[in-house]
Amino acid sequence: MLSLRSRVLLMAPAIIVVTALLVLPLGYLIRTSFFIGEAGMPPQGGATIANYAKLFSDTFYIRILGKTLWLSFLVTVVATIIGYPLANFMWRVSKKWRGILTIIVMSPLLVSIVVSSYGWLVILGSTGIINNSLIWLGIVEIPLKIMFTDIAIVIGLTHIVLPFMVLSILAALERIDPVLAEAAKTLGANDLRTAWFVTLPLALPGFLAGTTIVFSLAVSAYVTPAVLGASGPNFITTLIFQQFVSLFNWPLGAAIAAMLLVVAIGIVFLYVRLFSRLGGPAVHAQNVAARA
Amino acid sequence: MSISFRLLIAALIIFILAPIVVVVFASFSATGVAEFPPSEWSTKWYPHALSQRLFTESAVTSAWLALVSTSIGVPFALGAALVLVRTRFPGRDAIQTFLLTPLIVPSIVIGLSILLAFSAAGIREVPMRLIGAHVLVTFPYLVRTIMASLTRIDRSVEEAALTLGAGHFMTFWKITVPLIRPGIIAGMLFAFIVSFDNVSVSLFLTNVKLNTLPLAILNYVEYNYDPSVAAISTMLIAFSLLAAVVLERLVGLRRVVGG
Amino acid sequence: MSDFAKVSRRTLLKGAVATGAIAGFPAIVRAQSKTLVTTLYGGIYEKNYRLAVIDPFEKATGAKIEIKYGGSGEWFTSAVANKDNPELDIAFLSLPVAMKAIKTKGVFMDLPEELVPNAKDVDPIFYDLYDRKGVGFNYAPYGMVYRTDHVSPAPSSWADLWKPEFAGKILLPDLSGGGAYETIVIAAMLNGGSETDLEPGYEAMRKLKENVFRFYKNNNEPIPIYEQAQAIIGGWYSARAYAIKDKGVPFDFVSPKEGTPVGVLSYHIAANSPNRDLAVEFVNFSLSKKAQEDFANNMEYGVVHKHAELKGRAKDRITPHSQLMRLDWKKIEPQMSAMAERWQREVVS
Repeated sequence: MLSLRSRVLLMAPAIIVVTALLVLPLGYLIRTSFFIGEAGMPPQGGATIANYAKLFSDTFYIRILGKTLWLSFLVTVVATIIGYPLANFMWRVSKKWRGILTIIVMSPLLVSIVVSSYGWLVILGSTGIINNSLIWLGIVEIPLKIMFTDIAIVIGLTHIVLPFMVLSILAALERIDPVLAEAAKTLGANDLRTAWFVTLPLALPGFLAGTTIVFSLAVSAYVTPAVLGASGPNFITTLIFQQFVSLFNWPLGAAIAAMLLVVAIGIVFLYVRLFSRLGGPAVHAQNVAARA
Repeated sequence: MSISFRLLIAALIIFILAPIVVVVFASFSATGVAEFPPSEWSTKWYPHALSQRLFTESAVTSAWLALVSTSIGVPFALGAALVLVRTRFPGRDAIQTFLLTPLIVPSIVIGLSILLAFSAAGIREVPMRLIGAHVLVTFPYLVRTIMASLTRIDRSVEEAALTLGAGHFMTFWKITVPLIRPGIIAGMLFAFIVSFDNVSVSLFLTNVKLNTLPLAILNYVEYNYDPSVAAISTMLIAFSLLAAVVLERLVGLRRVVGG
Repeated sequence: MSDFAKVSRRTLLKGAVATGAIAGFPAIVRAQSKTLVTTLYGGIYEKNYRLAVIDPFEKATGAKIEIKYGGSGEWFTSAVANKDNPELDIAFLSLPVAMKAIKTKGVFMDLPEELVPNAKDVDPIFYDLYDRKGVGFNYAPYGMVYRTDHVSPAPSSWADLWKPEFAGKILLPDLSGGGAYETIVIAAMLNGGSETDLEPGYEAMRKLKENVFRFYKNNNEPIPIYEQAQAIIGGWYSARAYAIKDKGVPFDFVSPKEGTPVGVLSYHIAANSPNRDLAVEFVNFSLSKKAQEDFANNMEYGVVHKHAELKGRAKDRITPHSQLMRLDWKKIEPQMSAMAERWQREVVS
């Protein structure tokens, strides 16, 4: 066992790093949000909650927040629906295939978001693959507008968050005793019934962890909504960017950033509370959730 | 497994790989437009992309940044991981969560706050800001992987060394570290990729002399419609896949992120 | 040695490595004194600017020019955030943002004629506009563009954009695309308003927004959209339109009867730049008759020089100074923040 002094010496630097690079700068950012002023200029007047008052009273900002949460929710649902079959499949195949599939499933993470967005541009555009195929097949006559819409954002975000969902569920599946699935089969359940009634409930912790991670990631995403979405601020992240770069209202931008921070942390908090009430290893929950 | 299930999985895998495959194909398009599938094939965009200083310099910057950030992070992560795994005290979970918070905070907010705070504190050098931001975003990954490695190794060898009279530090350096080295390397490699690919955190922090590759690509796309971007992206993909294979062989990819 | 001593030695080593890594980083090897960092819009603008200004300057002085791409909003943000240690020596900004720049204290230096002798040949409208704190370089007519094979007869008035037959096929700029503020003012003027009464403009834009295919964020986006006729009419800068026309696409630019406002690009030199003198020299060089003429005749954009001689196609394609629609930016500037916000909320959302 390490002595107290050793513990402090080993732990302190890490804590100092995170405090200096995260906590203090965030604190400064939040401080900026309590003043009125323009880009980088000295603040006019004293501390005030005017920026926050504006955010909460103005339907525009609330609408964007709502849109962000709604689209992120959609992304989470889709990711869950298509994540489970994938995880289930990976769980049942051989080790070698599981390794290959892991690389495939993780590819959106390993390849830069910029690359993926560019790829979606080519696929979803008016003269992209999907539209060209649809027209060639005669299903539609004029190209569908997929690119620069909310649907494009959902597709793009689902693509990025899927690895996290699949791996979370897979991790939970691997903790299940395979004997249980065998037992179900012996008792006459087919594959689908087993998957739905036996495996799924047992993998629930994985789902819960996965949905939290995925929802957090979606809410915090910047590049995908900016590149694939329609003009104008779609997500809170793009709204923040525009406040700084197009509208030059830095304090308001900081206030919106603070709001996003509260939402993001709130989600994880909520999850940890919920999960511990449902029982199950809370540490596992925290670990997996924080991996977002 | 039924046929329909296998078809579903195949479809999902196509979904996952679609943008990546498309980009690779588009890089070989002879015409000036990124199209799929290419009507004519050519490899001319590769030398063209590599001749752009914008890309080559930013690639070097991204690589240097990722290397420095992960290297700086390792000693800090190592110390923290040791205490988190090997000791028990009230508040340990809280500290662990605290060290993992950079994962929850949106990258764009991190970048923004570092820009404002560093400027206000008088730290004006761009490398400091970039390194600071990248050390922060890669740190949780390092902590996680090193913690995972520490929990997996067999303590009996360490205990034997201690019984034989080796001091804590000697045991640590000569026994523990070599045992967890694959884990550390895997963590560094994954953190390297995270740093290299990160866009949002660097958005406000780069300048002309120090630009990151993803941001350079983003800039390029705003003014040029040729497949050079696809060529650079394909090279990035190849590099990432190589790293993925190495990671999978070394420790198993999933340990680094999911399992 | 005790654990503690070993730990602190490790810490020292960490620090040394970190410093060494930072010191050894790639770009700093380049000499600082004769390099200038300026911003620049890419594509054909960059091509012609290099031809007329950058290459000759580099040759004449041996200096090296580094380009920062992006948009005026980002450049201005960078200039303000880094004002004590500017990354940009020259911020080459578009008109709406430039108005903000001259009002922001402590970021840019003034550019009086004593410092920039060639400014005496600059048409005052492009100099006094900035209260002599910045100076214009060129102007780009912002007019209507259309596919000649889809739109007939040719549009003649800005009001044509509101015609129902163009629904879903209109392209207009977003705030970062250039021309958005001007569009609001034009829309206001068409409906009885002015620079100081923009309400009719917002209303007209609210009616129009459903018909807009996209509010583009940079001047590259429209190219494939117009080339593939996904949009067939819109507002845009003349040279950008002519670039497409010269490719053989049935496309053209018109100056509507109400007038063509201009986008002007102007120079703003960072007050704390270590290369101030070189920057001033560069700005002066770009305002010389030869540089201005080379740019005008190749880019087919107007330039600020009073006596620049235009040749051939450039003569036809560039509106002379006297015929430009000059919006009263002094009246517009104070409203810019409000305009941007309302644009964001009512028009593009």
